[in-house]
Parts: sequence; C-alpha cells; structure tokens
Amino acid sequence: MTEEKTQNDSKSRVSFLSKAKREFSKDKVGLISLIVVVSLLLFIFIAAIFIPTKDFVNVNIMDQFLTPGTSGHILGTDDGGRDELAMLIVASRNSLFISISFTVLTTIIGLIIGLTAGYFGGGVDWGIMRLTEFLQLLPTMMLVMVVVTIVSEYNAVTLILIFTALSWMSGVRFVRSLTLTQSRLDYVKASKLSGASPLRTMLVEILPNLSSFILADLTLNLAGNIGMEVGLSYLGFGLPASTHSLGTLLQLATDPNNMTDRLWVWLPSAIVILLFTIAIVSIGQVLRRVADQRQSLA
Amino acid sequence: MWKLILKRVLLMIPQLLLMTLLIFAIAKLMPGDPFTGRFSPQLDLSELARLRKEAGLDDPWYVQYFRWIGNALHGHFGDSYVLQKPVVTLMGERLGNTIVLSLFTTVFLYLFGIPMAVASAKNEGKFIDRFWLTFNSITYGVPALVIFLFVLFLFGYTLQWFPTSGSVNIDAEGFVGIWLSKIYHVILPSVTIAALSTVGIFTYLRTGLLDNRNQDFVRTARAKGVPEKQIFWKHNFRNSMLPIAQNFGFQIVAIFSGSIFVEQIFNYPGMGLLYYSSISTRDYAVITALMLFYGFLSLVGAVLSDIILAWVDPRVRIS
Repeated sequence: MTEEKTQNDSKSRVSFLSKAKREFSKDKVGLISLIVVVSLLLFIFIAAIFIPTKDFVNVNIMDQFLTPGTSGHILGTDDGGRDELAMLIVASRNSLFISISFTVLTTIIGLIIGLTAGYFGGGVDWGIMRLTEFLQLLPTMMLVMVVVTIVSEYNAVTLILIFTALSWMSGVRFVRSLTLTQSRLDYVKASKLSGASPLRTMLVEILPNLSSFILADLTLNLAGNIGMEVGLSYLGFGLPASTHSLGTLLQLATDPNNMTDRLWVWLPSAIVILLFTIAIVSIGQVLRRVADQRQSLA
Repeated sequence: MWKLILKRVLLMIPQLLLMTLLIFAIAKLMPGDPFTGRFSPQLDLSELARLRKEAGLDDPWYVQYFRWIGNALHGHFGDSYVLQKPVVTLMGERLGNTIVLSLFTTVFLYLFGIPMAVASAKNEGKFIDRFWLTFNSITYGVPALVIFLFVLFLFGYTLQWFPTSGSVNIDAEGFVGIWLSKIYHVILPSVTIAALSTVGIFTYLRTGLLDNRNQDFVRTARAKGVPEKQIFWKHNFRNSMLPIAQNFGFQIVAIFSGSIFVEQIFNYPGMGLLYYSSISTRDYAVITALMLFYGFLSLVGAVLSDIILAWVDPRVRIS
C-alpha cells in the first residue's frame, strides 16, 4: 500500500508537458494532427487579416462559377463571383472563432457548476443535478433554431451566448464526477481541516488535479462544437447571412447542379471541416491518455 | 415493478410542467399570433382586435397557459397559417415518414454497433480492435452532415443507386409496391445515420465486455467448467448489455430529434423537415406544437430508459 502510494506520488510529479511530449512521440497520428491543427490555425487567422473585405463581400455576377485556376482564382469562384480561397479562409476563421469561444465558455461554466455540485454534495448537488438532467432532455438544436429566429438582431457574440446558454450542461456531469472522486481523497480532507475556505480548496487544491482531464475533454468537445456551428449555419441559423462560415459554404451543395458539376464550391469547405475535426479528435485522445496514465502508450 | 413505474411516471409531471412553461414562454416571445396570416389591406384593425379578444389573447398569461395546455391535451394545436391546415393534420402526414426512418435507423444502429463491439472486445489490441476504435473516434468527431453530403453525392447522384429526395416513388402502386418504394427511400439515410452513431453503443459494450472478463461471476463460471462460448454469451455479454438496454430510450429520442439534418439533406418529408420549413416560414403554431412534441418525446424516452433498466436488472427493482 505504502509502496503504491509513493509510486503514485512520483508519477504525479512528472510535469504535464513532459507527459504530453512522451505521449505525442508515441502516437504519430496525434503528432501529425497537432502540427496540422496548429499550422492551419496560424495560417487561417493570419491570412484572414490580409484579405481585403471586398474579396468576400462584393458580388460580381460576371465571374460566377469560374472553374479553379481561371483568372487568378486558385479555387475558382462561387455563385456571387467571389474568390473561393478567400472565402474559405475567412469562413474557417469565423467558424473556428465561434466554436473555440463557445467551447471555452461552456467548459468554464461546467467547471464552476460541476465543482460546486461535487464539492458540496448533499442538497446542493441534488438540486444542480436534477436541473442539469432536465435541461439536457431539451432538444438543444431545435431551441437554438427558435431562439435565433426570435432574437432578430444578433452577431457572433450573441450567437456564442445563445449556444452557451442552451448547452452548458454537458460538462457539468463530467466535472462533478471527477470532483466527487477527488473530494474523498485525503488531501482534500487535509485542506478542509487546515481551515482553507471552500473556494480555496476547490480552486487551489482540486482544480489542478482535474486540469489535464478537462483539457482532454475540452479538445474532444471542440470537434463536436465545430460540427454544431457548421450544422446550424448550414441550415441558415448560424451567423447572419452576410458573414461566411464553413456551413454557409456547404449550403451551396443543396443545389444538385452545384453538388454534381461544381464540386469546387462545396468540396474544399467539407475537406477543411473533416481535416479539423479528425485531427482535433486524435489530439484529444492523446491528451486523454496524458490525463489518465493507465491508458498510456508510453 | 409496477410501483416503480408509477413512481417514475409521477416524477414526469413536474418535468412536464417545467417544460411546457418554457415552451409557452418561447411561443409568447415569438412575434405574431394566429391572426397574423389574415393581414390584408381590406382588414379592419378593430375587427382584428375583436378577433384577438375573442381568442383570449388579452387574458393574463396563466389563463392562456392553462387554456393552451387544455387544448393540447385535446389535440388542438391551432392552424398553420402558412399551409392553412390544422397542425395535427400536418404532423400526422409527416409522423409516419419519420417513424419509418427512425425505425430502420434504430435496427441498423444495433445491427452495426453490437457486432462491432463484440469483435473488438474478442480481439483486444489486435488489428480489428484498433480498426473499430479508430472508426468510432472518427465518426464521433466528424459532423454527420458533411458525411451525408458525401454519401448523397456518391450513392445518390454519381452512382445513382438510391433516390436523392422524397419518401416514396409517385409511380409506386399497391400496398407492397408502396412499402417497397418507402423502404428503398429510407435505406441510404438510415444506414448512414446508423453507421455514424455507433460510438455510444460500441464504447459502452466494449468496455463492459472487457471489464466483466475479470469479474467474480465469470471466474466462478469458468471454475465450474462452463464452456467458454457459454461464458461469453450467457454470463459476460448479457451483463455487458445492461447499459445498452438502459440507453435505448435516449437512443430513440436522439434518432428522432436528430432527423433535421438527414431530412433536410435527403429532402425527406418528415417531422424534422417540417420543423425546418416552419421555422423558415415563421409558422409559429407548427413550431410550438413540434417543440412540445419533441420535448414530450424526450421525457418519455427518459422514463422508458429507467423502466427498461428496472426490467432487465433486478437489483434496481429491489433497491
């Protein structure tokens, strides 16, 4: 028993970064995914700064549906004669900005509520969990669609807030169960006995022990949230029509002519979505192994 | 058992109350009312005000709420002002299609998910296991709608094996002909959804099968000399299926309410497409009725899951 304990202690002293390094070096797919995601993110966010607004706003019917490679349009043009490549970069930036901020926000809310429920337990826990369970039963997608329709004036920020308000519940259960297991451990009892305030125990003692799990969960959720953003804007309930997103580019595929004869208007955005989500999931799986060393490949 | 079911159904009442209040609030926030569609240059505004008063739209909200609940219980959801038909008729036309689609999806889902998990668990760490693990992590992350588009492009338009829209061929004749045509229309969407949604079943069942391998009841059976095949199916598999059985209610609801994308992309006239089109045309009576329908459905799904759990697992019944 004591031997096992010291082993655990020495293991947890290994820093997160060195564990991550070890796991990534053992998983080639994860490593490639990390490189792909980081370089694509940098490229998209930097390139988007240099694209003049007129490139993706001004409509020029004369240049409609140019095939890739003609008159300087590397990926061709869409139904409005706009350059596909410029649109793709700006759309990816918008989609990723929304999904990332939405994921971070829901994680923070999940952390606050989950920590509270798991730490205090009893009546607080019961109340929070019944409410969360009830809200999870609601058809989120449909509610988002309705709320977006009711709120007539909205922009990216309001959209993120609507998403968050209707789907913060998913993280709560996860954080709560992690907190419950931690709360039973001696170090939490020691912290309580030494007179630390609940807030201090939660944030200084418990939270650092959950962080690697939460990072892994956040990464995996990001993939799902990219899907949600893409889906809603595909249906026309995402960003306002003037703002491009990967979903609005995909929307062009609803026209059978575009789908079969003008692959360049929708295929690039579909590929970008696939690339991002698959890469993010494989990064998330490596991070999960970092958090839970029992699954380690190293 | 009956006591447990009764208790669980009674627990649904406060949930139902909360949910209907929420939907009612959203419905009240939506612009327009049942008479919005009758606007015309000839219309007298005082006449409109009289109609509104008669319909009780000037009453306090709680009076309106209980009247709305009462009407809903009697199956009155008002008229769609876009299509000028009772909402119930509209929903009835579409419900059948969605049920057929969901039924096929559910069957395919378990048909794919269970053998996948069994094959994986039996070959832990080998190629088959890694293959299905990778498959499920990809389908978990990738947005279904992108795959729907690829599938529609490949099998619908390019190879032309399956129809690209509708729920039945207009040329189909006779009972058998119509049903064959209906099934032909749902195969592509239902197989696609099923193949993309196995991750839950796969993960639960695979983990269960691997964990139960070292449980006491399996060791006891092995010590008694029970054949390996029987140990696997009668002892291990049956116990590992408990979480899958419990999840059945939620799974059905997820398939039902997840149908918006499929129905939109495959242009399949079901409830999801009705919801989508009524939001696009701001047909509020239909939206409200459909929200109520889906909300009620998810509550029933949760109850169903709990009842199934109590039915398959005697431990739950006793405690």
